Amino acid sequence: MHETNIANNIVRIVMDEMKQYPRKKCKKVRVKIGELVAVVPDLLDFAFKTIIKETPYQNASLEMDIVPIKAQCEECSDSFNMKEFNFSCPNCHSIKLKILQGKELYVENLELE
Amino acid sequence: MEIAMVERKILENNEEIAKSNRAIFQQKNILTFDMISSPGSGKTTLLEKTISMLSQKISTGVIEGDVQTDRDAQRIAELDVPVVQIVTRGGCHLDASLVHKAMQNLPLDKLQILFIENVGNLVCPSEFDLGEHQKVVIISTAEGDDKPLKYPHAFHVAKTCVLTKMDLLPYVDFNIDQFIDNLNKVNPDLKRFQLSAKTGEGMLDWYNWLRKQI
Repeated sequence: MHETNIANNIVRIVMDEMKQYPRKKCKKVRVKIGELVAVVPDLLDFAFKTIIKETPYQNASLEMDIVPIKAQCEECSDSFNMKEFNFSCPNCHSIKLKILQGKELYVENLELE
Repeated sequence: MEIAMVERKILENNEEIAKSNRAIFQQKNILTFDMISSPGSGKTTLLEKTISMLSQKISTGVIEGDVQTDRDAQRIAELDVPVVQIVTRGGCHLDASLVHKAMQNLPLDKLQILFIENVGNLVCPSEFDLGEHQKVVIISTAEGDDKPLKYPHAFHVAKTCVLTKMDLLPYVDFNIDQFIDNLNKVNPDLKRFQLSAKTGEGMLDWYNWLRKQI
């Protein structure tokens, strides 16, 4: 249940960033989460709601942008979206791959009003 | 509608502390392994046997992570090596700050290898950098040979995989070829060992490899 730890850290960042906007309300928190990061969206949303409730930004909602795993084959240079963590090139079946995206875990922006 | 750009890593705090742990390990020349696995894979037994083999020549320390009790630390302490127990009280993984605190209670100037036995869990520990040199994922033949597919992240972030309880192989349905296929699917570059800490089978390869890493 590392979603709780992740939610705590998201709220910490929200609190920290909102210091710059003392007269604004935070409406939405947008996060990017790569599929390679083992996060369960429902659990993260539940943890976020529970934690944000205790802050001045209790009405803020969490929007998750899930980033699919994208890799490039180092043999044939083919790039592709990876399905079901199958680390082999669908074109030439090589297992020498470079991960291009899918490891993201960051707060992208806040929607204010 | 106003958008405030943030672009901050969610685990930035953990990454900062992990970086500082890593700097300390490097400065003091301590090779550190974060051992991750499901509960019951035989991590502590593997550590006991490994430490017994290493202890003549290499000074070893252990950080034990458990949800409750210091039973594992007591087992390791019997081998007369420095050990610190972290009890997470429900927490399902170690993080860099817990390890940083535990490091204060270890004789870092004397250590050559530090094993961090993470909480038994194949999901959460794989997400947290502790400052280790590498993560070692451990799985036993009593588990399913499809574990790499079910927990791809753990097998993807690890650099080494140890398959334990090889002595049980004739009695269980674990298919080694299938397991290797599954490992190749999620992390073809994994260094692999097959051993039984109980009978000693395969332990020498693991021991020699560890010694070479120093």
